[in-house]
Amino acid sequence: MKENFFRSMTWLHTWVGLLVCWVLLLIFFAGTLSYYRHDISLWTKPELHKNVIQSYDASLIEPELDKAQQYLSQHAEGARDWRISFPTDRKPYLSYSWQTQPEAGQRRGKFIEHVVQKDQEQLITDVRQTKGGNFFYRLHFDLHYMPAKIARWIVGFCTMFMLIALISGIVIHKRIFKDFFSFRRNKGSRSWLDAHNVSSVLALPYHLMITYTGLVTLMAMYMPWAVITAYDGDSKTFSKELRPSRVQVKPIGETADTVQLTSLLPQIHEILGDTPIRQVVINNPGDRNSRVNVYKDTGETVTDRRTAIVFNAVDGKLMNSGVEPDSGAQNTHDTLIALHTGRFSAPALRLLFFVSGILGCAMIATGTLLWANKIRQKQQKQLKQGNKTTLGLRLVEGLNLTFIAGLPLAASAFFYANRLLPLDMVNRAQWEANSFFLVLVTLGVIACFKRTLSVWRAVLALSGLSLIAIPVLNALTSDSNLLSNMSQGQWSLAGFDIICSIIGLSLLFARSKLSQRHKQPAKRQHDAPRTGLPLGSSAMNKEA
Amino acid sequence: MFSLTFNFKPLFNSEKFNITSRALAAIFAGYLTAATGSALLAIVIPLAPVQSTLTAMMLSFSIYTAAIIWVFSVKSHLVAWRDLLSLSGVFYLLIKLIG
Repeated sequence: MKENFFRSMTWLHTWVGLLVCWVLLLIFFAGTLSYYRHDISLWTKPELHKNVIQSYDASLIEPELDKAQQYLSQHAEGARDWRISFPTDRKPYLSYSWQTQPEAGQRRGKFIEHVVQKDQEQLITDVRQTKGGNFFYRLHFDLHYMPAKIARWIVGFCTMFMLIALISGIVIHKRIFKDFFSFRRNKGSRSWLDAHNVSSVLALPYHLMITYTGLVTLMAMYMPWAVITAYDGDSKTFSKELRPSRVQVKPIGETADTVQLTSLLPQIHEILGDTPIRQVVINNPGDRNSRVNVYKDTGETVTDRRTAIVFNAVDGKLMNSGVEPDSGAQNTHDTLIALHTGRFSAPALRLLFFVSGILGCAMIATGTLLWANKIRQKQQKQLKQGNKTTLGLRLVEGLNLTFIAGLPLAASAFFYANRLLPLDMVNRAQWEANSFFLVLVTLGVIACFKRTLSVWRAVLALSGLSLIAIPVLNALTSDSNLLSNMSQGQWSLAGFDIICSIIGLSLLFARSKLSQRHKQPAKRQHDAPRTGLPLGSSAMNKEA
Repeated sequence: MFSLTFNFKPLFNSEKFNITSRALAAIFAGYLTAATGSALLAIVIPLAPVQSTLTAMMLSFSIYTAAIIWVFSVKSHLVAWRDLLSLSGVFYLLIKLIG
């Protein structure tokens, strides 16, 4: 293609990286936040901040299960399923939830969750309508405002681009170690290149892992050909052999009483031993064809296999003791999925995943800033002659401003909307999501007219300040605050406030860096801009 | 008569056409190679069907990646098309032969 392999790969790296980098940035950003999905969800429901947070207590399981069954049979008759969730590290409260029968034309029914207070007596039923952490989780692979299936193909397409960008990036990096130790500050595009290299190399194993395992999570959709060939297109048989306990049963329409759940406990304990129970799910309650699925808390097991112990919900007969075919391929697959989701990871490791995710965002952002910077330098001559920059460059710079500077601000808008929108608002949860996208759209419009450094600084300052103020927002709009949460050891709530503030501070730091470089002596103005600014400041200002 | 006198050669050899052709080869011929490759692996890996299928699916993205890198490293875009299409053709024939 080009003169040699090295050149071809450099070309490939630039273009596959550039073409989809803003979608990738959105995916990476949302995915990184998803490591704290449950913590975000808890934060977005201040109704649950007091008197519900508790830890698992094996001695209480029997009365709790009994109460849950009574409650659900009273309040959730005719539901599609009942779920009793016991407290875990990630979701530290006891809740009863159910899914209503889907309405005509819908695949899923409505999900309703009632949370039990610590005293085991009162239930909190009136929790604000919010998408919570699930918004970011879904955004990560379902995007928004479009059918999930199309979104997943787009995400898969972009992920494949990412994989190619990573592989070609490694190939062109002959001097990977030397580059790694030579960060040159304030050297224009050279600094952006160094920053790009550092953020890529530092977390390279993570980047490769997260990209490949991302494809693996949805491989049945992207690459069904192995199943189609080996099973003659019968994917049902395949999944049945793969996960016997996950076979869905359909109701047959005959009513039958559900077995007393507590009567199953001796058998459950025999199988699980001391392993905590995470959730009990009853499919098709009240139907003759109903099942009780008991999920154990897999805690820190690396293979992410959510295998249920399955009982017949009418006669209580054990149908699957939660043992699934154990094979190298399956263990590999489950481990790959677990690596992607990080469900197994203890707090410190999860933080490391989170930081690696941020480094991934930095890798993508520095890459595209680097491109914009280089192209702007190339167009210096034309600019001096009073010509306009090319459409491509303007597009890239505009998208950079919208996504790189805009995503933290959009996320912060989501959290503010969560707390400030009226509680009885129609479609409240959707409006939280809308506020996220409204920020991006607004910035996009601004970027069409003005992409100068001052806009960057304003956006960074705004997102920095609004994120730093998150603990204040939390204190004003909920019963608890950062200090009380810390003193009560409610670290998922306190952690949310702290992480937001830290990110806010670093955005302000980035903003101050931009101002400093902006003030550099004017005598170098005739050089190609040597500043490490996103937009090559001197040229930008002239044009503006 | 326009179509007869139109000279395709410059277009055919142009950089734009070259890149478009390679991109299409990477995306579609690459996918075809990965699809047939993983389908073939699913029936030739000597494991239980569930395991060989799962392994083949997990490996399919490596095949895809290798195919794409191949497309952008060979001298001519026609070579890229030729290689990937014949490779997936061979895979397909083998599947028909074995399966």
